[in-house]
Amino acid sequence: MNKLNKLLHQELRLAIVSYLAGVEWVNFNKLLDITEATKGNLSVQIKKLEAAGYLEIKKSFKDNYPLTQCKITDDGRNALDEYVKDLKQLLNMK
Amino acid sequence: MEITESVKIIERMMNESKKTLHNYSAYFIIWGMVMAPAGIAEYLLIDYEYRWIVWPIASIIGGVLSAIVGNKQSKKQQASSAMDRVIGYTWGAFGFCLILAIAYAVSIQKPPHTLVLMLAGGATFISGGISKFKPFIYGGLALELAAIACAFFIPGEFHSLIFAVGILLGYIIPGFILRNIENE
Repeated sequence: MNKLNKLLHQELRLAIVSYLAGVEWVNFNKLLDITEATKGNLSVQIKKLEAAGYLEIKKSFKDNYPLTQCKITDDGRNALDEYVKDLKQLLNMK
Repeated sequence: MEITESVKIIERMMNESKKTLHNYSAYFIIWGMVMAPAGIAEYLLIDYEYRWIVWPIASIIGGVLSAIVGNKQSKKQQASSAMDRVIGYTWGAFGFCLILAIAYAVSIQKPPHTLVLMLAGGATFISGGISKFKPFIYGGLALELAAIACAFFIPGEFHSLIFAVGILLGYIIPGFILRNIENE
């Protein structure tokens, strides 16, 4: 268990990165919808992922409403690949 | 968090991301419902010198309706996948080649049906392959068969009818099948 990436080994952060691995970008509201997280918690977790270089966050306005878009980075994608690899090893050891 | 739980989260989110698809059915239905009747109209107007007028009219109607749908969808869009981008580029390239093909056909004074069917079949086939949606793959093949029929086997006066049949099989039927799936 020690081997697993601690940043990704958390329910909401893992959900965010796993979802983003399959899309080019997603709106904050869509992430809220699919993760069923609270606004505050989701904000905190995406900021942590951004600080680690796993996500890019773009803030803009659309039709006078603030729009936050998230995108996975190459580092984020590599980290998820490594995490899945480590997970497989741990599952094989069990 | 247990590692089995991690696996479940990854699986669930990957499946969610696969659902993040644009609603493409509207475009196939719009263009199918505009172009197939245009083909039939051109056939019925065979003795009329200016029968080609059905194509610019149909193109304008299709273009306006597509722009309205596209505008509505882009306002609602909450996520985009690599597949959306590839399909977008495919149909963008199709649009460019279509204009070129029609201009070329007019310049050599030949009807453009064969070239249009060929290009539409290619773009539909690619869209079906990328999205793993078999009705578009079969629809693309039907359009290519219609193109082959026009190119080598069917006399020119029937090309607009074959065009309409190709559009029915390649756009309208797969478009409605996709719309049913999108509405589920």
